[in-house]
Parts: sequence; C-alpha cells; structure tokens
Amino acid sequence: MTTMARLTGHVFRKRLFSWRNAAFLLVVIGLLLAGALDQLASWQRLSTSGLAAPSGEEATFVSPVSSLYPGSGRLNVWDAVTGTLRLSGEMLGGPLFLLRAMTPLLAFFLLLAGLLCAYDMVSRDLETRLMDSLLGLPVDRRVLGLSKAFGETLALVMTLAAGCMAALIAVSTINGLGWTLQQLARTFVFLVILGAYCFLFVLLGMWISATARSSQKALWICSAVFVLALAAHVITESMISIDRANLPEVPDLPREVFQYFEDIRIKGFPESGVAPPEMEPYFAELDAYSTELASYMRSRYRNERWWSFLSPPGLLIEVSGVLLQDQYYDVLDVFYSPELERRPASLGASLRQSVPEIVWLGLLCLALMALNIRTLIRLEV
Amino acid sequence: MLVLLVLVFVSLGPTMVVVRHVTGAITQDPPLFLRYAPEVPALAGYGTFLDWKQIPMLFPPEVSSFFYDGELREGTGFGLNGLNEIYRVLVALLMMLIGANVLPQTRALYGTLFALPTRKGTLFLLHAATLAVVCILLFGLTFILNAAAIALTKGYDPDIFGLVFNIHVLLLLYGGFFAYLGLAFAALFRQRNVALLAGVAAIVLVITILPNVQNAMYFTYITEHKHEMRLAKLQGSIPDDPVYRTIQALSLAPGTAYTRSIALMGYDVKYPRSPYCPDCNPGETRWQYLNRVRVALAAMSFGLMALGTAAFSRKEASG
Repeated sequence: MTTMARLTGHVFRKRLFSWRNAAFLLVVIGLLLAGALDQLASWQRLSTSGLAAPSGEEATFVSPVSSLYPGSGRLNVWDAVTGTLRLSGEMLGGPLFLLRAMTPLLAFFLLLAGLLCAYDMVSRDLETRLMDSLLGLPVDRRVLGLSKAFGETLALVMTLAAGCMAALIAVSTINGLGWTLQQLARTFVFLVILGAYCFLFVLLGMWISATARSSQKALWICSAVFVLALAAHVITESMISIDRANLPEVPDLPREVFQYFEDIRIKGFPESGVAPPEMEPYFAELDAYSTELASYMRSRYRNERWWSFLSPPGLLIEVSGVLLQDQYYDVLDVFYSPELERRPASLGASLRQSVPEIVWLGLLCLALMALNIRTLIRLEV
Repeated sequence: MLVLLVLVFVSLGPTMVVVRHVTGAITQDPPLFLRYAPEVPALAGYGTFLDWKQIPMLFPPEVSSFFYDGELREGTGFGLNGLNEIYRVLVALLMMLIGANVLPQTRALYGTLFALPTRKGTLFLLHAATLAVVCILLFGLTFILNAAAIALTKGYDPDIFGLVFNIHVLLLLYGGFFAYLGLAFAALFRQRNVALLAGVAAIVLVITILPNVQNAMYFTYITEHKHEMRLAKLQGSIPDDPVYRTIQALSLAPGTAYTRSIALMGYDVKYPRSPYCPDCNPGETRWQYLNRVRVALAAMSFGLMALGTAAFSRKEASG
C-alpha cells in the first residue's frame, strides 16, 4: 500500500508538471471560459429580451413554456431544465448552469483527453525498453500499473478541477455572480464524478496501450474508440427518440379564449390577475393535457434512463442533468402538472436520484481495473 | 483502422435518417408543454403557451436528421441528435487524422522520396493533391449515401436534394480545411503523435473556443454600441470600428462559418423569401454570404497548404 501511494505520488507529480498537462490546463480553461462567457451573454440577452415579465408583474420571470424536440425523453428533460435556467430573468442556477451547459461537450472531450493521456502509458515503456528495468524492480507489476493509472488520473483531475474552478470563478467575478453553499457542494460532487469518468478512460487507454504494444497503433485504436462512442451515442439517442404519435394532442384553442389573450396582449393583464369563469373549461383542458404529458414523460424517462448505461457519455450527461441544477427536487418536476407537489431541491435528493448511474460508473472502473491487472500480469517483455 | 473510421463516418448519416424514419421521431411543429414555474401566475403561463403555439420548426422536416431544432448551437453548445452538430466534430477529427497520415511515416520512405529528382515542394503539392482527391471521394460518397437514404425514406424533392448537396459541398470545404491542417502539422512536427495532439488542440480552438469568443464579443458589442449599430444600419454600412471588423473576421473562422451557413441553408429552403441573415453585410443576400464563407474556407486551406509546403521543403530524410 505504501509503495503504491509513493509510486502514485511520483507519477502524479511528474504528470502534473508536464508540458502535456500544461497544454491540457490551457485547453480546459479556454474551453470553459469561452463557453461560460458565451452562455452568460446569451443568458443576459434572453433575460432582457421579449421574454420579459408580463406587464404589471415583478421582473422575476421564468418562461413557463417549452417545446419537445426530436430526441429521447431523457434529452428533453435535460433540455427543459437547462431552458428553465437559461430563460430565467434572475440567472437561476448560477455557476451550475454554466457547467451544465458545457457537459455534453465535456463528456466527449474528457473521453478523448483520458484516452490521449493513457494511449502510450505502457506501449512507450515497451518501445523504449524501460519496461525491462521497471519489471526488474522488486515491485508487484499490478501495483506498478495501477499506480501509473491513479497518478495519471489524479493529475488529470486536479488539472481539470483547477481549470473548471478558475474559469467559473473568473466568470463569476466578471459578472458578480454569487455562489450558494448548495451550488458549491453540487459543483464539488460533480467534479468528483468527472474524476471517476476520467479514470474510466485512462484505464481504457492503458489497457489499449498494453494490448496494442505500439503507441502508433494504440493512438489509432483510441481514435476509433472515440468515433465509435460518439456514433453509438448519437444513434442510440435517435433510436429512443419520442414518437409524435404517442404524445397527447395539444387542446384546440376556442375563439373566445384567443380573443381574451389578444386583449391582454394589447391592454395588459387585468388588475385581479384572475381569469373570467368562461375560460375555466379551456384551462381545465390544458391542465389535463399537462398531466397526461407529464405522466408520459415520467414513464418514458424511467424506462429510458437504462439506455444511458450503454454509453458512458450518456451516463455523465444524465448525472449532470440531475446534479447541476438547484431548482427541482426531482428533475421530472420540470413538466408541470396541477397534481404535482412542489418540494425544495436538495443535494441529497439529487444524489439519491443519480445513485444507479454513479454505481454503474464505479462498476465500470472496477471492471477495467481488473482487466488491466490481468493484462499486466500476462504482459510479456 | 482508418478504413473502419471512414466506414463509421459514411454510414452515420444513412443510419440516422433511417432510424429517425423508423422511430417516427418528431420532425415538425413540436408539441409544447408547461414547465413548473410557480413564480409565474397561471394566467401568464397560459398566455405564453398560446404565443408559443404558433412557432414552427425552422427547417424542412425532410432533413430533420440534419437539423435538431430551430436553435443554432455552436462553439461549446453541443447537441447530440442532429447530424450537422455531429459532423462539426467528427469531420474535423477524421479529416485531420487523414491529413496527418498522407505523408510518409518512416525514415526509409523519406529517404526514397527525397532521392527522387523532384523538388520537395512539388512532392508536397503532389501529396496535397492526393488529399484533395481523397476529400472529394469521401464527401461524394457521403452525399450519395445520405441522399439515397433520404430519397428512400422521404421521397425525391429537388429543393431538398439541392440543400443536401450544398450541405455536402460545405462539408467538403470544412473537412478540407482540417485535412490540410493535419497535413501541415505532419510536415511541421517531427513526431507524428505530437502532430496529432497539436491537431486535436487546434480543433478544440477552432470549433469550440473561437465561435464562443466571437459570439460573446458580438453580443457585448451590440449591447454597448446600440447607437452606432442603429446608425450604421440606417446608412446601409457596417460600423467603422476595428473591434467590429475583428468580430466579422472571426465569424468566418471554420467552426462558426460552418454552423451558421448550414443553418442558413436549411432556413433558406423553408423560408426562401425571408431576408433573415444575421451575419450578412448590408445589401448582401444569404447566398452571397454563403459564397463568402466558401471562399474563406478555401483560402484558409490554401494558406495551410503553403505553410505545409514551406515546412516540408526544410524537412530532412532523418525526420
């Protein structure tokens, strides 16, 4: 154990201060800073645009309407929550929103970064014959291999966390955006999960490196893994996209209701803020529609979430959807239903909701660790 | 391995088109839903619901596999179920990989090559020409397969086929830029792995960071210079300001230009009479803007080719 800790520390320090890591840090900061600034610009633009508060109301407005799009129910839930944060007049979600909006890209970028960090981890030592000396040391080769993977991942994750925090703090400072304790805790938990996600791909890259035995070949295989992961994710998303035929029909709009809202548009909202009784049947229909749609989305989301187990990027996006928001107790609450009981968001509830994905990520890491140990034991020099 | 990557790439489009068709995915007039927003009075919520009901999809339903929705996602904004957004990343990576592998990879091959009685610059240009042929063949094949899948599932429509063709012409130019980037880096760097990693970093910069920087600069500029912008619009000119010119130049960077052009093409088929074109100069039509983008992409590829030629001319057989 002590040897492993020492070796991990050695690899960690070596990697942390390497040129490759410096380049990675620059790319992470550049990526997150550019993305966060862009999201901030769009956030401010939308909050001051036509989606302003209705006349006479306080300017705390969250656009209550959204559209379903081609794609899975899961993706629609993710988009609806992101839309709620983006269209909020008071920048709901704070820094969580900025990180959340970047997650689909980060999911693939970190996949590539993890693979690129590890593609020559074993093969380079084989090519330079350093492996002969390393295996001659009085250290178990499993300890040697895993220490390398741990050290490499720690350096990658520390750099990633530093880059994320630097970019988020810079944007928050520029814009005077505050952090709540819950937002900070959620960001921290998500960074830990990002660490596990990176570890998964470092282990995969290391296994490819040990199996291919040539850095050039391993680099090609890692590129193929990236392209296949992207293609598999996209095709799976298309396969489980919502079928229009299964959705409830939007209720028809009676002429008098249309006229009523046209008058509101021209004259502003009535003082009482209460609709006349003749509107009630239409509102009841809308409530029934919302309830039916919310119930459909709930059942769809629960069935579909298991698909994300096939794709690690899908897994990360799913976890980000639940963790990187502080508005909903259950993300499915984003679909309005008059029967919905509104509960305050809590980190505990979000973590409970993400347990299957986090456990699966852990199991994948363990499986790859076992695979690496097996390959290292059988490695011939 | 490269063949496998190419096969995955060319089959992605037809697979998406067929899967979308089989699953009966939403392709037009998306249904609406009410979000839980307790701070908004129910009446206001229903009022907005009525407003939004009239918003149709921005793009023709036949090409729903290409266009995810009406929202333009560029830079770090990344959707996962529209082909144009997937191509944005995949084409860049694949073409850079192809470009970086066109040049010989061993010292022995370089030795043989440099022993030929041909100038190094000419040799490089021959490789560049081969790469151009590879690009044309690859995107030609992609076009044929994508168009065939659309014809089989949606039927033949000349407007849609014109759109699909133009998308692939743009893809060819966009992919060509990254292919020449890979080729130039392979000539510049001694080690192939370093060239590939530098290529990945350049792709991240070009397709994610630059578009976001341009976007953030543009919106900050129009917020802070409302008066100048309005005046310039009235005069039919562009603001005489180096910052604004930089923003305009950045809009022609491959990542930005690709996303905006492809979205404009789809929009043009559905709304041919609409003058909507946020990146056009005063008096410029959508197609004039698209031609400007094509010329800019071709010019940048030539620039990379020149850089590669200069680097290759100094290369020694030892690497």
